[in-house]
Amino acid sequence: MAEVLLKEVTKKFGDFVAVNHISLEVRDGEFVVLVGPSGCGKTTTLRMIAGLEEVTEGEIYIGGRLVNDVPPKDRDIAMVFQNYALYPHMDVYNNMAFGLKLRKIPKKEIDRRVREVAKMLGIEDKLRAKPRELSGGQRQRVALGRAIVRNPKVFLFDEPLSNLDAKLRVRMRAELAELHQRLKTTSIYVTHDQVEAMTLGHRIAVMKEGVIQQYADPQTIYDQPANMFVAGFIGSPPMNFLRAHLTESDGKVYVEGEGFKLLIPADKATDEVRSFLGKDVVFGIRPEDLRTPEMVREPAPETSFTARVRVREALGDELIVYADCSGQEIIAKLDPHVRVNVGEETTFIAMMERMHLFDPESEVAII
Amino acid sequence: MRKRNILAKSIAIGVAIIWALPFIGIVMTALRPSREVLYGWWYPPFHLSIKNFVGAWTHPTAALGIGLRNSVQVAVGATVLPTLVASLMAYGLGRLRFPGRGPLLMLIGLLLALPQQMIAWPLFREMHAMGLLNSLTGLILAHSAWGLPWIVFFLRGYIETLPVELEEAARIDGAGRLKTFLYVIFPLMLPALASVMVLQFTWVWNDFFLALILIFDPNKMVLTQRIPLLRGQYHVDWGLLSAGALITMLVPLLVFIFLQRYFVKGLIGGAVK
Repeated sequence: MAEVLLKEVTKKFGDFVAVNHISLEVRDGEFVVLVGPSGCGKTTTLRMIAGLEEVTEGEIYIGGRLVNDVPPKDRDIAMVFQNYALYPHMDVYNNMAFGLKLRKIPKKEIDRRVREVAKMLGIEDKLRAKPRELSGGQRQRVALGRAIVRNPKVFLFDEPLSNLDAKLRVRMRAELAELHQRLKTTSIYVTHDQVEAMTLGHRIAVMKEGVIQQYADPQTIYDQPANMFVAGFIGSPPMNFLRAHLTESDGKVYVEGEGFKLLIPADKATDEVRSFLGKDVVFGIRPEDLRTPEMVREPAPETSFTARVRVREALGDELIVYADCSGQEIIAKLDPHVRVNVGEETTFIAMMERMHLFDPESEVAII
Repeated sequence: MRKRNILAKSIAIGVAIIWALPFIGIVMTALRPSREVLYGWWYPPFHLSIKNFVGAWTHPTAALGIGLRNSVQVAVGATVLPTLVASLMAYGLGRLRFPGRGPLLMLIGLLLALPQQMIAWPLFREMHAMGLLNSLTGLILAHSAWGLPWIVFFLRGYIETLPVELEEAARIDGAGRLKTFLYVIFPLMLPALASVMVLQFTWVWNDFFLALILIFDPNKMVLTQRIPLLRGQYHVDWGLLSAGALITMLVPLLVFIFLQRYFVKGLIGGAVK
């Protein structure tokens, strides 16, 4: 096991900067997820750690050793690819044993390890099958097995679940989490799926345009997004962003925009917030932090506004409502039993202790 | 639908018969005495004999037995050698990025367009200078060099259909370039290699031109050089010639039958997994 350290790592393809001076510290035994939209540099970062891509600038350390110029085979890592990359001409046993054979490990030891891991993954009856005879989930297990059997310092996962159907993906996700609890091997996992990121990661690095936007544990990312990109990327439906400005009357601070004027709780009206008085801000509120009066017993004063409901989507366990607040769209995630009718002007209450404010210029969070 | 099916089948059978007629003719001519076939080979009587085959095989000036041995040596050598060399070249050209790769590929492409007649004289001089005239080794080398460009092109196309991740997985698993090639790429190339080998083998086997330039020792002549010598001085012995042609045909046919399964797989490339 080992920690992984990236120091100011940059990757350029010609003039295109895929990864831009990122620094990342992955602790020994930690499960870190790199998440972001396609083209954000997450896979390139992973490939640099694997040694499949050369580092243009910066340094990568695995277990305290600088590995910039170390070939992949000597980095003591294992990687699980999106398309599994199983050797089609070898059976399951040999797919898993290949890396061990190349490392000249005694045959008996190879046999013991392959069988042990195959058993752990529930594929011990498939050892003589060729990859093409396996289902997607079984192939994924073989790919995992090939990585585990080598007992490497670090696991690298490149969107390993994205080729599976939705149901299987959920199951494999849980299995991966369980596997990590058991093996406790340092893992770096790339995905564009925020649910995978939230459920698997001890810490999540949200990336955009080759830069890490925020690196924190899942709850912090969710509760205190560093900027509008992170706030909008994590969470489904995404956070509502409303154009607004800050005003003050009687010593109270309000966030005010077209069609709403909401009181900012006293403990949230920090000096930082006050410095934006009279200036434009972006008011952010998550869909589940909007309620209707039916759902709230004692609403805090001056936290309601009205909006006209355009669409309602009843999902059974929740009700998603799209409404129009003086020309700006808001999405609310409500209790499925509240009465909301399309076309009606409806009162919403914002849970202001969970609100967010962003600087519209830099898009950075103010609180 | 049924009617169209029947029509299509009868057309196919018709074409097949026309296609097979000359071959049937040759078989008839080879197996029957010449007076029986001289005025049309579809009339009885049928007297079958393998006299012509024995005659061709042990012909005093152009024994096909020895020719077959020479041809097998040349064809096997000139198939295996360029295939092995080209598979390494194709891997390099398909996967490695190095300066001059583009122009090199272009050059190989241009070589494909070169007519064989153009190299006759330079080839003769070169082989003469190297003391490889009149030797099967020389002929093998000439065929290998001539086959190399198209084999490289063919295999490179195939290698590019293989997923790069397989090599990356091998690199992470602990294989260097050479081991990746040996253990992962080469086995996956087998269908393409089979196609290449069938085509190259047939090409070399059927070649008359290069052999004509490089081999003139009667003992070293290959099969194709010997068939014209079976013709006879004053009259054409069609029976002997036909038997010779059949013997010559036999080997590529066997090669094709043996490798057919892979051959088709290789030609359709990576399209079918």
